Amino acid sequence: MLRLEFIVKKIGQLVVTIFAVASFNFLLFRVLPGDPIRLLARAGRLTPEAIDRLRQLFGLDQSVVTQYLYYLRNLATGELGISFTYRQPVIEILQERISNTLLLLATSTVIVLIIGVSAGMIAAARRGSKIDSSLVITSLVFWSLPTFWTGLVLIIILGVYFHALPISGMSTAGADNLTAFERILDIGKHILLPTITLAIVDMGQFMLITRSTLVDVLTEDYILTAKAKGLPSRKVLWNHGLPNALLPILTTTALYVSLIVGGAIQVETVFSWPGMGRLMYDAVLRRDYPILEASFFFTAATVILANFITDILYMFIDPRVREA
Amino acid sequence: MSFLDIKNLVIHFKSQMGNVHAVDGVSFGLHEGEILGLAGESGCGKTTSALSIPRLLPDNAMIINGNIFFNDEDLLLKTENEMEHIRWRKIAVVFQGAMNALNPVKTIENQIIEPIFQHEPGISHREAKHRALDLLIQVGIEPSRARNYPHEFSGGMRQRAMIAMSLVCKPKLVIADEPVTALDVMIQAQIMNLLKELVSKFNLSMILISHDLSIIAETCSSVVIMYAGKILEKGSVSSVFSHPAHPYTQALIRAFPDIHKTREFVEGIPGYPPNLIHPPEGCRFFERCKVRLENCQDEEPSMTILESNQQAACHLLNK
Amino acid sequence: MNDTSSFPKQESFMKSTWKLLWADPKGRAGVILLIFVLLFSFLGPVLFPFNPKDMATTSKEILQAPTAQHWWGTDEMGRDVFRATLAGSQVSLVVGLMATLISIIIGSIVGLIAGYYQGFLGNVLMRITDFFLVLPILPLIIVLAVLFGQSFTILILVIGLTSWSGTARIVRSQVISLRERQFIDRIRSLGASDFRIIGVHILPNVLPLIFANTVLVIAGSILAEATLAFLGLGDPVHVSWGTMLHYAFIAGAAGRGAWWYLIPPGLGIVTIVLAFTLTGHSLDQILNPRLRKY
Repeated sequence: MLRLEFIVKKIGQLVVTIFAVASFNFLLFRVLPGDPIRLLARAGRLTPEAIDRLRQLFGLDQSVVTQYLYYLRNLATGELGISFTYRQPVIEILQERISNTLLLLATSTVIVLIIGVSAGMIAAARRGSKIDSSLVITSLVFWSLPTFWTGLVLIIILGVYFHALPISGMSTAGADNLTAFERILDIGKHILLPTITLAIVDMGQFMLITRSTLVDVLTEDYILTAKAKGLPSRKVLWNHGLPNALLPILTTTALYVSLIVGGAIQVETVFSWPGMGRLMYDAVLRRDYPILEASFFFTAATVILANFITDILYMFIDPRVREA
Repeated sequence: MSFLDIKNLVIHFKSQMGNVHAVDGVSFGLHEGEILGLAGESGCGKTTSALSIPRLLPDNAMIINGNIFFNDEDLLLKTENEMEHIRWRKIAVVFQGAMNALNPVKTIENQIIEPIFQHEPGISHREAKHRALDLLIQVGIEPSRARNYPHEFSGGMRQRAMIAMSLVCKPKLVIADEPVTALDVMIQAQIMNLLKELVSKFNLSMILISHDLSIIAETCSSVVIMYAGKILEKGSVSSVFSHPAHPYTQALIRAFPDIHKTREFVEGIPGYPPNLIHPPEGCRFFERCKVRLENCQDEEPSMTILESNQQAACHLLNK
Repeated sequence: MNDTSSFPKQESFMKSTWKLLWADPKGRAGVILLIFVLLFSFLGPVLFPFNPKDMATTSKEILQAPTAQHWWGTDEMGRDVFRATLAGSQVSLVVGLMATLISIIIGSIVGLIAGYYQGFLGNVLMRITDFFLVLPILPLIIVLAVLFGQSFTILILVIGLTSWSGTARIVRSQVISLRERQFIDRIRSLGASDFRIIGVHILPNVLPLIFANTVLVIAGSILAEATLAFLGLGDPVHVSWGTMLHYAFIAGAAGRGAWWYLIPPGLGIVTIVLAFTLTGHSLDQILNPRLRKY
């Protein structure tokens, strides 16, 4: 199968899955609760004109099938309803917040990948040694930490007792006259604790996956062949082990995206970071269904997109995949 | 026997249930230019013995005792660093190519060239590539296919590629571990002929590991029959195959039908090899042997030298 | 007497697994922690019962650091943190175990059917499984809890019904490889009924894997409950560690440095989850031969 065919096939799957998620969302928010009007147009919260407009937009007084079609059309055009809390179109609110979350996720991912994968490599190369055991135990402990609690503990230790780092928000309130550089520094200080919190839990998982993948790979026959050729163990690990281990690690990255999205919700809540996660938390507290519906969809779509990108990357790395 | 001489090799494996006495006092040797067959059932210790020569045993293997003299140097005394220089350059291995012995994400060409650069760092890329392609031609693979990946080759082609790869640093000794086991009979014949050809062309010495006696009979000049970690019989192929001295060897040969003889009933050997975590005290073949003398269960037989080209370990021969 | 029997007598599988688990330091630590946790959560509330209505009478008693009277201090309503922590342990355990039960049953059945029958049914099941795998778990359970309520039962259902995909995949791939190895097609053609085949050939070989997976799923379920509760979606009636942390957070305990309120329930969660994680990881190594050290 040519690369192009493969990509087209994957794009097809991407579209189908997003479609499935959208339908699932529809099922959850419009069909199952029984009365969508209650969820979307909470009387007393919105003006009667607004409620009427919503009723037209979403076809709330029509059959389920028609509603479904309205729903799909609205999704495609970015018409996501109006937030109860902010009295603003949901799509505007999302747009404000999404870059903040992406910044947080990107920084954490870099740390997780670098530390997690290196630790996994060290542990696999020295399998059975004390270093291996301590790395594994550390990773298991990290994995058992609830993300939100880790954040709270870090707040108490580093924020309150040592006053070392800011513990909430993305930038210092009221500081408007900063140069670009100072702004970046300010954000950097604020992002440090949330990033570490987010990274700690997932770092352990990545380390364990890398280690077990590499251990599996190192039992394969071609590793013995490489050793038989007289290659030193360093070269065997880097030239033969890692390239093959990269494949399942890449797959894990897709799973990991699913996890950090959940982690981001907790971290943003605890540190009052103004992103999508915090948005979701607030929406839960205030039962702001339009925001919940939209943020769930976008979160799921992001994960699906990440999976898609992983599949494509996989194709470039593994020559066997194109035959599927 | 000064080319390769193995004396009293004892190798145990650590396992969760105890130590497995995989190789228990094995001695054999090889002349230069000779093809030696290492025969026996699965688990008899033939691969372990052979792979201990380039020291390619897994981490849980313990070489308890023995010497492996290669060109008068004991390989068991070498450091890992020294072994890295000896591997492939002096002693190469041909693994079963049908399995996963080739790295699936690298091209065949890449994998063949790799050891050249490892052992001859100054060599030019052009010369290395030339050598690799030349060898591919010698084993019957079109050079245009060098850039393919292993999964794009058939089983037979992969085996040929493995053979080409093993010869690329011009080794003196090649260990071929079940080189044709997973291939169909026609291809088996082709590959075995190829091996014989290459051995004489490049003046190699070879240890051929196989459970298939017919292959050993056709290709090797001498044979070592192993069972449960011990050598039961060894000698020249002509002697051992025409008058096998040990009951086990006799049973093995009976288990392979002879195309020239009249039709006979092919017998297997009922039973299982003994537990090597607690190996029996006497002869290891006792349980499955048809002849059983009084002392076979308690006393281990030592090697009896028969004609100059044959030795066997059996109490029958001491009567 | 010389024992020349071919293979060592098969010790009961459970016994040898237990021996290996105990021999592994991680496994041993996990089991010890488990026993400790079980004692803690069953004896604790009996010895030191918690009364949620026993609140502060003076403002000094609110968010008080540990004293002789309140070993672990008080919360924002003046209640004893020590007793509250003991009481909260049960909810975490019960929700985690029940949710896991649901998850494992669904996952195993789906995996078995998909692996055994393959074909169209198998494909459909796998598509559904993959769909659930791709949905981000926390947002999903948040949304479900918001939409369908916060009772104890709903929480168990929500966590159980969303986490079965991993088990399904593992079971399915094991069943598929067993099918080949055990020549299931041939046995079927001889007329053996499917139930018999599954019961005799497939299930016994899949159960160890499911067991190791179960322990790890328990760890995940407990974390899920704790996180949901922290975000305000826990059962308002029963105090759990997650709900304690929720109220602590809302009361600003972190900013006020009330570490005695935050550490015990959190540490409790970590301990339980770690107990199951250590045990599960060790079991996984034992039951998956390739990961074994010698």
